[in-house]
Formats: sequence, C-alpha cells, structure tokens
Amino acid sequence: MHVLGGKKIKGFEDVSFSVKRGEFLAIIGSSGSGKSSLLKCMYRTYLADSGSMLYHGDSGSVIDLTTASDHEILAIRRNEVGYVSQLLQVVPRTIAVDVIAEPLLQRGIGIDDARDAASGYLARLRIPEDLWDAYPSTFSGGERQRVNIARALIRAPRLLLLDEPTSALDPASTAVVVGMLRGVNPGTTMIGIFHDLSVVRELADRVVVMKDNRMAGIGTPEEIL
Amino acid sequence: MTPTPASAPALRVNNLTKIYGSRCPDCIENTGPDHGRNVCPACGSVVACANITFEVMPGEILGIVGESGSGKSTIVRCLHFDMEPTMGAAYLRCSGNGSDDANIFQLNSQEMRAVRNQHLGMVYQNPQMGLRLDVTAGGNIAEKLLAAGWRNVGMIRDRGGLLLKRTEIPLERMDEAPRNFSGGMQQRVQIAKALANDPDVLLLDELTTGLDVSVQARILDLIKEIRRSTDAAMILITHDLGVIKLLSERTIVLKDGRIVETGLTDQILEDPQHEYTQLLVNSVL
Ligand SMILES: Nc1ncnc2c1ncn2[C@@H]1O[C@H](COP(=O)(O)OP(=O)(O)OP(=O)(O)O)[C@@H](O)[C@H]1O
Ligand SMILES: Nc1ncnc2c1ncn2[C@@H]1O[C@H](COP(=O)(O)OP(=O)(O)O)[C@@H](O)[C@H]1O
Ligand SMILES: [Mg+2]
Ligand SMILES: [Mg+2]
Ligand SMILES: [Zn+2]
Repeated sequence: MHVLGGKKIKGFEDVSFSVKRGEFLAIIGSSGSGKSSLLKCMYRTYLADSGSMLYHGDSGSVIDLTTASDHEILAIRRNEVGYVSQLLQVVPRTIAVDVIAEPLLQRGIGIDDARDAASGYLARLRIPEDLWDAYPSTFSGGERQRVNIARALIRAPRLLLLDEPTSALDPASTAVVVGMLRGVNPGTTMIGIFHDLSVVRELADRVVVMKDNRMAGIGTPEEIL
Repeated sequence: MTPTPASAPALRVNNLTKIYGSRCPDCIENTGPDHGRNVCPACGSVVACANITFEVMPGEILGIVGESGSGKSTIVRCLHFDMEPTMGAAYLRCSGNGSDDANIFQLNSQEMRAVRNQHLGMVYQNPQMGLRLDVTAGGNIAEKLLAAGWRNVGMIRDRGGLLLKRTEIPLERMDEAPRNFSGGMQQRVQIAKALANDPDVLLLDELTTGLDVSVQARILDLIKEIRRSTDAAMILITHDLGVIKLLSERTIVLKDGRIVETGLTDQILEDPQHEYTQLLVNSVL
C-alpha cells in the first residue's frame, strides 16, 4: 500500500508512505492531527481530495483506493480489507455472537459453524459467556470494542485498519488484544492508530507520526519513540 | 447464498427522465438543485426526475434518499411500468425473456407485463396502491402468482402460506382482508406479494414510513433476511438515513429530481460531498 500526497481540507495533507505485505504500521500523533481521517480515506469512508493510495492485491492487481469504483471498494471490503472503527458501532437487535458471525454468513458459511468460530473469538477475548447471546448495545465500551475487533478478525483480512482499538480497554484486556494482533496470520498487513506508546513498541514494525495535519516523520519504533 | 455481486448488474438505468406537463425545450435546463426547483418557470411543467443513471447488482441493496417531492417514487414507478418515462432507458439482466439487451421502456405492453410479472416486485409507499384491501391476504398473493403463470390452486395456496409465514403474518389470517390489518401487517402482506414471483429486482418505496418504531425494526430485519436468502437486487427508497445506514451499502441522494451525489453509504453519511447532502446529514445529528 502506498499513500501519496493525500490531501483533505482540515483533515490532512502531504502524507506519503508505503507498507509492505505483513508489516504492522502504527500511526501516532495528537488528537485532531488527521489520523482517523487518513485511515478513513483508506477505507473510503472519506474521499481523498487529491493524491493516490495504491492497494496491491494478491493476484498482482493494483487498485487506487481513491478512484476505484464503489463496487470495487465493496468487493475488497468484503474479502480483503477490514476496519475497526474508533467509535463503536453496534448492529441493532443482533446478539454479540451473531454480530461477529455475520461476516462469515455473508460468505455463505453455515450458521452453526459461523457461531462456533464467533464463540471462539469471544472466549479468546475473555468476554463472559453469559454476554455471548446478549445485545452489545448494553455492553461496556471495552466489551463493545472487543466485539468490534472480533468482527474484523474473523474475516481474516489481508489488510486490517485499526483506529485506536485499545482506547477503551483496561490493561489486562489490552494485553489480550495485543496478543491476538501479534498472533494474526503473518501475511496480514495492519495499519493502526494508537495513543498507548507501549502498545506501539510491542506491535509496530514502523511508525508514522502525524502533526498539525501533516506527516511529521516515519521510522522504526526505536528511531521514533 | 452470498451477496457478492456478480459481474453483471441486475438492473441498469440510463438517463431516466419524467416530465409532467406540456414541456418546453428548456424544462431540464430551468430546473434542478442549482435552481432549487423542479417546476419549469417557462412552461410550468414538473420535472419529477431527470438524467437518472445508476446500476444495481444482484444481491445488492441500493438506497435512494431525498426530501419529499425529490422524485424518488417517480423513479421506481417508471421502472415498474406504472407510468411512462419521458426519456431514458433501463436494462434488466434476467434470463429467458429475450429482453436482456432491450430497453424495457420500449417493450410492447404485453412484454412489459411479462417482465413485471416474472422479474419485478414492488412495495408501494401506500399499501392501498399495492394491495386490494378487500381481497384476502392469500388472494392478493394468488393474484400475483396467477399473473406469473401459476395455475395449480393447491400450489398457489401453499406458496401463499409459505410467503405469509416468512413475513410473519399468522396463517389463520390468510383468509382475512388486509383492510382490517395494522399498517405494519399491510406492509408485510405487500412484501409477501412482492416476493411471490422470486423477483430479480425488488422496488421498496418508503416501506416503513408512518409505522411505529418497533414495527419498523421488524420490517427492516425482514429485509435483511431477504437479502441473506435471495439474490434479488433491491432499490430501497427512504427519507430516513437510519434505514439506509442499516441496510444499503450504496446510496443515491436525490434533490429536485436530480442525483446530486452517489457513493458508499458510510461515505455519504460521514463525508458528504454535496451541500444538500451535508444539510441532510447534519439535520439528523
Ligand atoms: N401525476 C402527477 N402530475 C403532476 N406532477 C406530479 C405527478 N406525480 C408526481 N408529481 C410531481 O413530481 C415530483 C416528484 O414526485 P414523487 O412522488 O416522485 O416524489 P417522492 O420523492 O416520492 O416524494 P415523497 O417522499 O413525498 O413520496 C413532485 O414534485 C410531484 O408533485
Ligand atoms: N467528516 C469531517 N468533516 C469535516 N471535518 C472533519 C471530518 N472528519 C474529521 N474532520 C476534521 O479533520 C481533522 C482531523 O481529524 P481526525 O482525523 O479525526 O483526527 P485524529 O484521528 O488524529 O484525532 C480535525 O480538525 C477534524 O475536526
Ligand atoms: Mg481519531
Ligand atoms: Mg414517494
Ligand atoms: Zn419548460
């Protein structure tokens, strides 16, 4: 993935970097510096005003995420790119296990298998078992955030975009999530926004620093932190 | 079944335009969002919609939002052959009727009926338009099945029962007239009827407007279930952004009869490009 000269009024400008397959890139920077906007442009929730973002698919195909058709974006969202939002989204009237199982159902996997897989994630994320068939709208921030993460991981995406996935978690849950992110398939590329620098040290291969809505630096955690 | 879009759209619409009135050469130029009106000042004609172009994939739900009078119902009514468009073309990808490459607006009336009966389902904003309220619920569905070529009375009744069950109408009410039903139940009967012929394209016009919230929620869940279990392309008209957020991955925004913006639903809601869409989104929050 290359991001070249992306620009958005008030959002961010002049951001250029590339991420290798399987690499973990962390984005850090003060609040309002444009981190979430940058990530949302990669997922096309925001439209970039200029610049390009080239996504290299397995088949050798290259898609510019800023100009690809809506259907092309939907196809890679379904099959390749996952996104964990900063604000916790819940699917109304759907119990936790089904919120997580839904991406598998969309792929045609049977309900029982999908629920089994979903329960596995709930267990690993240490969600109490009596919450599995409860509605996440009543969950705590940290519980919801873990449901969100499970829903993204269950797709086994090639590229996973994470916007402060541990911001609402206590240290023990953070450690669980960090462990899970470290454990994902080494072919998975991840780009994640974090405030907690100890998490960045544990996870990131490289770090992008955003400052005043621009990119202020890039390097290994040792160089940057 | 997976909603992964096949490569060919189920429906393509090209420059669909509907003008009511005597028309003059300037109707289109004189109207639209830039003028803030859909009535031509020169001749008084109403440009209900103009230059509407979009496509929908099998298994996809396309949202159409816009304020009252923006032309939403006009689009689906033209597609359902309830009225004749002034200009434009539409192409359906459906097998066996020989019309795959034909502009469906140019078919003769018998061919149009066949396309509607075999391939389209419609849920009207107003149940009175979609149902005969004094004919039983089962009879309303039977009518659509008969039109689609079903002949065996037992099979028609079985299918009717199945569809009503699927839309959660108690079977014992199958022989009751929808006039006695609640608004939510009437919409369910309409949905059952619309699904009767296993349509390739399902047109849903404000199907939850005017219903109370819990009834709305169950109808929206029903649409989700239909998305999971069929490959129908759906056009979902609403002025409720919550509905498109829940159901559609792509959305068209209509204003004064024109498409002002089209995009992924989350992009439309979080990064609206057109001034009007920004107003629409911000007035919800
Ligand atoms: N038979 C008609 N004769 C003249 N004008 C009409 C006719 N039917 C609709 N119109 C006009 O065409 C425009 C579009 O109407 P349409 O019913 O498509 O709106 P809509 O977007 O579905 O609105 P709503 O949200 O209120 O249902 C409106 O200005 C309407 O007054
Ligand atoms: N949808 C939007 N419309 C207008 N401005 C926005 C939008 N999203 C973000 N911004 C602005 O862009 C800047 C960067 O925001 P954001 O990317 O959320 O920052 P961060 O994630 O680094 O805290 C902020 O000034 C914010 O107010
Ligand atoms: Mg942010
Ligand atoms: Mg209408
Ligand atoms: Zn005119």
